[in-house]
Amino acid sequence: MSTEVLEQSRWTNSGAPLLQVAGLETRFTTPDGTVNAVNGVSFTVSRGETIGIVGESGSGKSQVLMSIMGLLPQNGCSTGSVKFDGQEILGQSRDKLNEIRGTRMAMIFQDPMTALNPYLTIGRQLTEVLTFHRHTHEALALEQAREILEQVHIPEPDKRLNMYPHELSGGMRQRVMIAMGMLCRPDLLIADEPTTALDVTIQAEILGLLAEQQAATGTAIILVTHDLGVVAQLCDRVFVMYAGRLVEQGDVRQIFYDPQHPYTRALLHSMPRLDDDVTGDLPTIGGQPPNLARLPRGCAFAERCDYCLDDCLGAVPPLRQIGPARWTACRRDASELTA
Amino acid sequence: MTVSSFETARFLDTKIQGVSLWQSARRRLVRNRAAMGGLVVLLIVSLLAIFGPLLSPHEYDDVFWDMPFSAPPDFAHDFYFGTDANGRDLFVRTMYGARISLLVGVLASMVSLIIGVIYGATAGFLGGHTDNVMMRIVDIMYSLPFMFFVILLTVFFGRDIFLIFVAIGAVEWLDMARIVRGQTMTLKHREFIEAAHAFGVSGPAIIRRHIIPNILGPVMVFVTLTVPKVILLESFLSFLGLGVQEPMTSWGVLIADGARTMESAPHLLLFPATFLAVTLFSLNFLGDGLRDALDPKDR
Repeated sequence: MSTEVLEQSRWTNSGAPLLQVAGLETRFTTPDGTVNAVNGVSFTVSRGETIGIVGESGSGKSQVLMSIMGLLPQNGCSTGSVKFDGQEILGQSRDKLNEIRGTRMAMIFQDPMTALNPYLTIGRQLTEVLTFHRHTHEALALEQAREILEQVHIPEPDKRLNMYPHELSGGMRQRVMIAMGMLCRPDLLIADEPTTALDVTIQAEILGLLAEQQAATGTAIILVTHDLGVVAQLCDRVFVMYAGRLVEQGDVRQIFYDPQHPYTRALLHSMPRLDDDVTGDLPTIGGQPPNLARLPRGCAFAERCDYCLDDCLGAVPPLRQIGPARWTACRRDASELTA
Repeated sequence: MTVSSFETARFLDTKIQGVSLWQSARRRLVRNRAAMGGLVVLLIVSLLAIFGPLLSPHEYDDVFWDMPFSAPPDFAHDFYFGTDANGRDLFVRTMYGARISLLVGVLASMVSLIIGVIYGATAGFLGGHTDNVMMRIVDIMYSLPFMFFVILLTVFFGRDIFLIFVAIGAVEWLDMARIVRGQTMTLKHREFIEAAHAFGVSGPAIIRRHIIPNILGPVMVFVTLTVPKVILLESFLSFLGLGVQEPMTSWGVLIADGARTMESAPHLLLFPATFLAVTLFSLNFLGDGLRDALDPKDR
């Protein structure tokens, strides 16, 4: 495939940002009441950039992705707006979504052990995307599948095509998942904790591979993780989520070197560092994240925050801009936060 | 992504062959001796059912007045299995019985397999209200008394062997649908199904390509259990006079007749019972082999 063809397909509907999420709210109706998993999240993703979404478990980061992809379970419901390449995709029918899912927007799952169908050979799983969406001829699709396996550095791709997932190691399977995601050269690749289930050396390889694929194809990546190391390694911009809200967003360097929100600071503080002295306990964030079925009226982090003001308990602090592409949802200025 | 026809042609020349689940399953099945043995026996029985009557000069409904009733095998007069209680050739009757029994067994099981898998997988996959309605329909059909259903059919359409297929098929798929639905519900939330959604694969394609291959194992086992059940059900219906009619016969009818004269003429029971037992035995081996072959982890 020539680069001209690639460029063309990538910039067809330019002008609008690749992904524009505005006021996204996701609710789940459960027997114990309504769970507010995502509460008014807005952000944009430009072409070719890498976004990291961080936050602890249950902060709603995965649900943001699922809402974007239209993969919510039946008791889930999203409101707001998600525009992909200028087109509203939230609440679209399955058929409509299937036109972009897999081809222009692909997803990589957390656990490569369970994300591949145990009853299909690697070749079949890969070619499914092509034969289903592009009605590519079987043999041609297999050739493309072999090529993409080569690109993700899987040795002996011809042989792997006829293997079943259980015959591959975890790292190999995640490579296959990435290959599947990149097969149609999507504009947006969504990765939901792609390295969590892998051991550390494989993690580094997989991240390197993602970066390499991005450099080759210009795909935008949204990476969800709770591993700050992964974010530092790969991302351009970082969104920090807490209790279903964005509490801070900014450039990766700004987030790491100059965190503005007390939660971000606490999160970074509780990350073990190699250059620390290792005596004493690892600092943690005291308390528990709030119950998403009964969110407090004010700032969700207030209960665990050392800098809480009276105002913080009354109303949710709005996301305020404090610099170019730099937002925080804290009433306090960074100068007031002295750890 | 445009690829010229020239390139397409070039790709088609290079031989990268994909192996489907069925192809590799067949290879594994061929390697399984017990299953292949079962398959060969089933083939022989089927061939006998089709061509067996040609091996004997007699007809299945001829009464041989010059032969003793319930005579033991007599090769001099070409009565290989002897005669039955009415003086008819038991060999030819067993072969004709094989036709009916195998036909009912295989056809009714296939009907139950196809309807049950599609219905159950659809209900389980869609879930929610659709699933509720679909499964309540199954419940209603369950609660319909089977005999009442068969009698109703015969009253409306007259006695016909075809009705037995319909009646048995219509009842047997209910079990299959329930099993398949249960399996589908557990599969539905597995990550690879979610991944298929994320890759934009449509619902029917997910059922066809991802769910059905994953439930084939238990389904195969259930089919091998259904075949003997159906054969016995047919003999029960025939015994009540709702199934095949004299002089036509089936294994079930022959065995029921043979059981009545077990003390005086055991061969009347022995021959058809042996055929039925051997067939069911081979079916079990084949079903077991199929289940193993369809599981890629056993490769």
